[in-house]
Amino acid sequence: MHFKFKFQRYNVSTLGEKVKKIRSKNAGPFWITIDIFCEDKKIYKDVCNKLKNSKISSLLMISEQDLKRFEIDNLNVIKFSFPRKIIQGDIFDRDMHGAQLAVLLSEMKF
Amino acid sequence: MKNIKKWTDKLSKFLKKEINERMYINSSEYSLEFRHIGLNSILGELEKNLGSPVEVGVLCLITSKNKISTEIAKLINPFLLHFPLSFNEELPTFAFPFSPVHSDRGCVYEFALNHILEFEDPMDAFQIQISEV
Repeated sequence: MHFKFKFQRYNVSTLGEKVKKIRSKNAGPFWITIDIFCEDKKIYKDVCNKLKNSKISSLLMISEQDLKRFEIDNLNVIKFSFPRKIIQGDIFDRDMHGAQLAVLLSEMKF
Repeated sequence: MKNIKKWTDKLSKFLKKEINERMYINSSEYSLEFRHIGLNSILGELEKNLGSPVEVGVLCLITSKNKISTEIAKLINPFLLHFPLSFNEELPTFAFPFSPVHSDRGCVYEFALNHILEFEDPMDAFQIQISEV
Protein backbone atom coordinates (compact mmCIF):
# COMPACT_ATOMS: atom_id res chain seq x y z
CA MET A 1 0.00 0.00 0.00
CA HIS A 2 1.22 3.38 -0.85
CA PHE A 3 0.34 6.54 1.03
CA LYS A 4 0.88 9.96 -0.22
CA PHE A 5 1.18 12.79 2.23
CA LYS A 6 0.86 16.30 1.17
CA PHE A 7 2.56 18.87 3.35
CA GLN A 8 1.71 22.46 3.10
CA ARG A 9 4.29 24.83 4.39
CA TYR A 10 3.20 28.27 5.50
CA ASN A 11 6.19 30.38 4.79
CA VAL A 12 5.36 33.71 6.35
CA SER A 13 8.50 35.71 6.86
CA THR A 14 9.21 39.31 7.56
CA LEU A 15 11.56 41.83 5.98
CA GLY A 16 13.50 41.90 9.25
CA GLU A 17 14.22 38.16 8.94
CA LYS A 18 15.25 38.50 5.32
CA VAL A 19 17.86 41.22 5.76
CA LYS A 20 20.78 41.79 8.10
CA LYS A 21 19.62 44.96 9.81
CA ILE A 22 17.02 47.72 9.52
CA ARG A 23 17.72 51.00 11.28
CA SER A 24 15.98 54.36 11.34
CA LYS A 25 17.21 57.70 12.60
CA ASN A 26 16.54 61.41 12.52
CA ALA A 27 18.36 63.09 9.65
CA GLY A 28 18.24 66.64 10.90
CA PRO A 29 15.11 67.84 12.71
CA PHE A 30 12.81 67.66 9.68
CA TRP A 31 13.66 64.28 8.14
CA ILE A 32 13.78 60.59 9.04
CA THR A 33 15.95 58.11 7.20
CA ILE A 34 15.59 54.33 7.18
CA ASP A 35 18.44 52.03 6.13
CA ILE A 36 17.99 48.42 5.11
CA PHE A 37 21.29 46.53 5.21
CA CYS A 38 21.41 43.33 3.14
CA GLU A 39 23.81 40.47 3.75
CA ASP A 40 24.73 39.92 0.10
CA LYS A 41 24.03 41.04 -3.46
CA LYS A 42 21.38 38.37 -4.04
CA ILE A 43 19.23 39.44 -1.08
CA TYR A 44 19.85 43.09 -1.95
CA LYS A 45 18.61 42.63 -5.52
CA ASP A 46 15.63 40.65 -4.31
CA VAL A 47 14.64 43.34 -1.80
CA CYS A 48 15.21 46.09 -4.41
CA ASN A 49 12.83 44.34 -6.80
CA LYS A 50 10.13 43.31 -4.38
CA LEU A 51 9.99 46.29 -2.04
CA LYS A 52 7.61 48.83 -3.51
CA ASN A 53 7.55 52.50 -2.57
CA SER A 54 3.76 52.38 -2.36
CA LYS A 55 3.99 49.73 0.36
CA ILE A 56 6.46 51.77 2.41
CA SER A 57 4.50 54.99 2.09
CA SER A 58 1.25 53.33 3.16
CA LEU A 59 3.02 51.71 6.12
CA LEU A 60 4.35 55.10 7.21
CA MET A 61 1.12 56.91 6.30
CA ILE A 62 2.90 59.42 4.10
CA SER A 63 2.34 60.35 0.48
CA GLU A 64 4.42 58.46 -2.05
CA GLN A 65 5.75 61.74 -3.45
CA ASP A 66 7.35 62.51 -0.09
CA LEU A 67 9.32 59.26 -0.05
CA LYS A 68 12.86 59.37 -1.39
CA ARG A 69 14.47 56.06 -2.29
CA PHE A 70 18.18 55.39 -2.67
CA GLU A 71 19.64 52.07 -3.77
CA ILE A 72 23.29 51.94 -2.84
CA ASP A 73 24.72 49.06 -4.87
CA ASN A 74 28.24 48.94 -3.46
CA LEU A 75 26.96 48.72 0.14
CA ASN A 76 23.94 46.46 -0.49
CA VAL A 77 21.85 49.10 1.23
CA ILE A 78 18.39 50.42 0.39
CA LYS A 79 17.64 53.71 2.00
CA PHE A 80 14.40 55.67 2.41
CA SER A 81 14.12 59.27 3.51
CA PHE A 82 10.99 61.27 4.18
CA PRO A 83 9.97 64.51 5.91
CA ARG A 84 8.61 64.13 9.43
CA LYS A 85 4.93 64.92 9.88
CA ILE A 86 5.78 66.19 13.34
CA ILE A 87 9.20 67.77 13.56
CA GLN A 88 11.77 66.78 16.15
CA GLY A 89 11.16 68.34 19.56
CA ASP A 90 7.59 69.42 18.76
CA ILE A 91 5.19 69.04 21.70
CA PHE A 92 3.52 66.17 19.86
CA ASP A 93 6.78 64.44 18.91
CA ARG A 94 6.76 60.90 20.30
CA ASP A 95 10.16 59.74 19.14
CA MET A 96 12.85 62.43 19.08
CA HIS A 97 15.41 60.26 17.30
CA GLY A 98 13.02 58.30 15.09
CA ALA A 99 14.66 54.97 15.83
CA GLN A 100 11.39 53.09 16.31
CA LEU A 101 10.11 53.48 12.76
CA ALA A 102 12.53 50.76 11.65
CA VAL A 103 10.41 48.29 13.64
CA LEU A 104 7.47 48.86 11.28
CA LEU A 105 9.57 47.81 8.29
CA SER A 106 11.17 44.99 10.21
CA GLU A 107 7.79 43.45 11.08
CA MET A 108 6.48 43.86 7.55
CA LYS A 109 5.55 40.60 5.80
CA PHE A 110 7.92 39.96 2.95
CA MET B 1 -7.15 47.38 29.00
CA LYS B 2 -9.52 47.27 26.04
CA ASN B 3 -11.18 50.46 27.25
CA ILE B 4 -8.05 52.51 27.85
CA LYS B 5 -8.39 54.65 24.73
CA LYS B 6 -12.09 55.24 25.40
CA TRP B 7 -11.22 56.13 28.98
CA THR B 8 -8.65 58.77 28.08
CA ASP B 9 -10.90 60.20 25.35
CA LYS B 10 -13.74 60.59 27.83
CA LEU B 11 -11.40 61.89 30.51
CA SER B 12 -9.87 64.39 28.12
CA LYS B 13 -13.30 65.80 27.24
CA PHE B 14 -14.25 65.98 30.89
CA LEU B 15 -10.99 67.70 31.88
CA LYS B 16 -11.30 70.33 29.16
CA LYS B 17 -14.73 71.21 30.51
CA GLU B 18 -13.41 71.40 34.10
CA ILE B 19 -10.44 73.54 33.07
CA ASN B 20 -12.74 75.88 31.24
CA GLU B 21 -15.19 76.18 34.14
CA ARG B 22 -12.64 76.50 36.93
CA MET B 23 -9.79 78.39 35.30
CA TYR B 24 -11.75 80.24 32.61
CA ILE B 25 -9.37 79.14 29.89
CA ASN B 26 -10.18 77.87 26.47
CA SER B 27 -8.69 74.63 25.10
CA SER B 28 -6.91 76.66 22.39
CA GLU B 29 -4.62 78.12 25.08
CA TYR B 30 -3.05 74.81 26.06
CA SER B 31 -2.57 71.26 24.82
CA LEU B 32 -3.55 68.14 26.73
CA GLU B 33 -2.51 64.78 25.39
CA PHE B 34 -2.61 61.21 26.67
CA ARG B 35 -0.16 58.55 25.52
CA HIS B 36 -0.54 54.86 26.28
CA ILE B 37 2.82 53.42 27.23
CA GLY B 38 2.96 49.71 26.42
CA LEU B 39 0.35 50.04 23.68
CA ASN B 40 1.29 52.61 21.07
CA SER B 41 2.93 55.53 22.85
CA ILE B 42 5.72 55.83 20.28
CA LEU B 43 4.19 54.99 16.93
CA GLY B 44 0.65 56.18 17.68
CA GLU B 45 -1.71 55.51 14.79
CA LEU B 46 1.09 53.77 12.84
CA GLU B 47 1.12 50.95 15.40
CA LYS B 48 -1.00 48.05 14.18
CA ASN B 49 0.30 45.41 16.55
CA LEU B 50 -1.48 46.36 19.77
CA GLY B 51 -1.12 43.04 21.60
CA SER B 52 -2.70 42.51 25.02
CA PRO B 53 -0.59 44.07 27.79
CA VAL B 54 -1.29 43.34 31.45
CA GLU B 55 -0.69 46.96 32.38
CA VAL B 56 -0.55 50.27 30.55
CA GLY B 57 1.26 53.43 31.57
CA VAL B 58 -0.68 56.59 30.89
CA LEU B 59 1.39 59.66 30.25
CA CYS B 60 -0.49 62.95 30.29
CA LEU B 61 1.31 65.87 28.67
CA ILE B 62 0.20 69.43 29.20
CA THR B 63 1.78 72.36 27.41
CA SER B 64 0.87 76.01 27.27
CA LYS B 65 2.42 79.22 26.05
CA ASN B 66 1.47 81.29 29.07
CA LYS B 67 2.91 79.14 31.88
CA ILE B 68 -0.36 77.64 33.10
CA SER B 69 0.63 73.99 32.54
CA THR B 70 1.52 73.39 36.21
CA GLU B 71 -1.75 74.93 37.38
CA ILE B 72 -3.66 72.69 34.96
CA ALA B 73 -1.72 69.64 36.19
CA LYS B 74 -2.63 70.45 39.79
CA LEU B 75 -6.27 70.88 38.87
CA ILE B 76 -6.58 67.60 36.97
CA ASN B 77 -4.58 65.46 39.45
CA PRO B 78 -7.61 64.26 41.52
CA PHE B 79 -9.64 63.54 38.40
CA LEU B 80 -6.90 61.32 37.02
CA LEU B 81 -7.15 59.24 40.16
CA HIS B 82 -10.93 59.20 40.44
CA PHE B 83 -12.27 59.07 36.91
CA PRO B 84 -13.82 55.59 36.62
CA LEU B 85 -12.60 53.22 33.95
CA SER B 86 -16.01 51.58 33.80
CA PHE B 87 -19.37 52.25 35.44
CA ASN B 88 -19.88 51.22 39.10
CA GLU B 89 -16.27 50.53 39.87
CA GLU B 90 -14.32 50.78 43.13
CA LEU B 91 -11.82 53.60 43.03
CA PRO B 92 -8.98 54.21 42.54
CA THR B 93 -8.10 51.59 39.95
CA PHE B 94 -4.87 53.30 39.01
CA ALA B 95 -1.40 53.35 40.51
CA PHE B 96 0.37 56.67 40.84
CA PRO B 97 4.14 56.27 41.05
CA PHE B 98 4.40 59.36 43.31
CA SER B 99 2.30 62.13 44.70
CA PRO B 100 1.72 64.81 43.56
CA VAL B 101 1.86 63.06 40.24
CA HIS B 102 2.95 65.92 38.00
CA SER B 103 6.48 67.05 37.31
CA ASP B 104 7.54 70.19 35.50
CA ARG B 105 9.63 69.68 32.42
CA GLY B 106 10.38 73.33 31.78
CA CYS B 107 10.36 74.87 28.33
CA VAL B 108 9.84 72.92 25.12
CA TYR B 109 12.24 73.80 22.35
CA GLU B 110 11.63 72.99 18.74
CA PHE B 111 13.42 73.67 15.50
CA ALA B 112 11.81 76.53 13.65
CA LEU B 113 14.32 77.16 10.91
CA ASN B 114 15.93 74.82 8.45
CA HIS B 115 19.65 75.43 8.74
CA ILE B 116 20.49 74.10 5.30
CA LEU B 117 21.48 76.83 2.89
CA GLU B 118 22.03 76.31 -0.82
CA PHE B 119 24.88 78.26 -2.39
CA GLU B 120 26.64 78.34 -5.66
CA ASP B 121 29.86 79.02 -3.84
CA PRO B 122 30.46 77.70 -0.28
CA MET B 123 31.92 81.08 0.67
CA ASP B 124 28.63 82.86 -0.13
CA ALA B 125 27.58 82.36 3.51
CA PHE B 126 30.47 84.43 4.81
CA GLN B 127 31.32 88.05 4.51
CA ILE B 128 34.95 88.96 4.75
CA GLN B 129 35.97 92.47 5.64
CA ILE B 130 39.60 93.30 5.38
CA SER B 131 40.83 96.19 7.51
CA GLU B 132 44.26 97.53 6.93
CA VAL B 133 46.02 98.88 9.98
